[in-house]
Amino acid sequence: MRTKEILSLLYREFLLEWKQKYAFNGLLLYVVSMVFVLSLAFGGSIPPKTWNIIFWITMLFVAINAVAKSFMSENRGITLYLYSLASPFSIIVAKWIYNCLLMLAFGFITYILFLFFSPVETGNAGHYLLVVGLACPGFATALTLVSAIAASAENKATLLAILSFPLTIPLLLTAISAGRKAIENQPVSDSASLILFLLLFIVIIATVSFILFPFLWRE
Amino acid sequence: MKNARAQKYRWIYKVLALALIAFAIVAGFAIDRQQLTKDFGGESWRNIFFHVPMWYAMMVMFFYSCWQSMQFLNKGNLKSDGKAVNAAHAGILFGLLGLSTGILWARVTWVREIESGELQAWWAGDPKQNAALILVLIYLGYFLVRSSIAEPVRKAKVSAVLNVFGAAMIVPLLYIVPRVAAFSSHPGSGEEGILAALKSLDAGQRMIFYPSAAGFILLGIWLTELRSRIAEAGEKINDALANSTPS
Repeated sequence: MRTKEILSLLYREFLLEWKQKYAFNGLLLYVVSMVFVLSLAFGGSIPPKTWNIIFWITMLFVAINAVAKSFMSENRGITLYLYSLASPFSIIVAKWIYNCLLMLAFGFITYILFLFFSPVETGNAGHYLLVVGLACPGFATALTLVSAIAASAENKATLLAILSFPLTIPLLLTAISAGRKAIENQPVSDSASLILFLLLFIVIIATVSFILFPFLWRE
Repeated sequence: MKNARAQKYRWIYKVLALALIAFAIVAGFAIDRQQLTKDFGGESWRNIFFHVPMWYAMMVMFFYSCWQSMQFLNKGNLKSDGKAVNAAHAGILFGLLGLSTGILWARVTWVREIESGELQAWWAGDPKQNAALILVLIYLGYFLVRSSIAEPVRKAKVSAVLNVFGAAMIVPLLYIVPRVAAFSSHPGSGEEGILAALKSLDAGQRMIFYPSAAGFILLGIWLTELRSRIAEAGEKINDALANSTPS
């Protein structure tokens, strides 16, 4: 029963995205111009260690732009009506899945764009993609609840920045060190503890968000 | 007052808090461990009796605050929210104290490696230190959220959610990140370096360390109680003013 509700909410998110294409395309343009500017600034070739760091910082900004707005951009009236039909638990789970998928897509898009504009010896590409595939949902998880909290306060933009940075810094640092290991072509077992930490982080934050969101919603 | 008798004996724990901290200060500076003084090149190791208990006190305050926030979310009693804020205030105070004692300690103990050599820096950049700063930032965000929402119930709800979220980050940030993301020079995190000598305290040191921790925790409870009494008094004054103006 819950699954059906979550799926229909998820479908609604995709439909909304499809109808107002500017959200996705705007973000895409943002990523392309950011990567392009970075490659221009570095003159085409970026040293692998630096490449890894700017890749993740770019991902952080993409995440903040993509996920953080997920509770802000909607029409409050329509949202209230729709959400009076569904349970808050389904809403947060649907938002979370949607944000994770969005961030995964943007993680891979940004990776390809980075390789396109400033090619680099990526070492173990599968290893790197594994880190991308875990850290991007991590960003999405951390920022989904932060977005919900910030959306209910008055000065949203400031709050969002202040709340999201401390929560994403641990993820960012872990992703950077795991990414460096992948770039240096070390085996996956070397970053096993980092990958485990990313998973643990996602599980903790997702659980806490699912438990807490209904309280935020009930206001 | 239903617990008037309990009120009557409240002074005991306050005296105990002061006595324990006074004992920790006197004994912490008096205890003689020449090996440690030699290893550290000075007396800075004595900070273990103050720096670590402050973090313990911070964690106790934050967990209590989280507990009160959960109570508020369950039952909707604004009093619990008040308690949560007061405890969080005490917690952030201990967090800032822990950070500053840590900064001073790190400055005399660790040197930061930079490209041109070594630097005695104010910020050591140790992973555990960074994680602690992140934690303090989360709680500063908590106070910011509180001050940016005017309506009391919504303020309490949103900030309670953030408080529980922050408490859930304490253990990952202080105990998992320093071990996993990078190796910290704090004891128990892989590469202890000079601080390894403090990893296991001997019986004499423990006799100072645990009373000090208990003293700081009790001091935190006292601070929380003081803040809530100030808040109560403020409410009474407001009520009295509101009642007196119409006439």
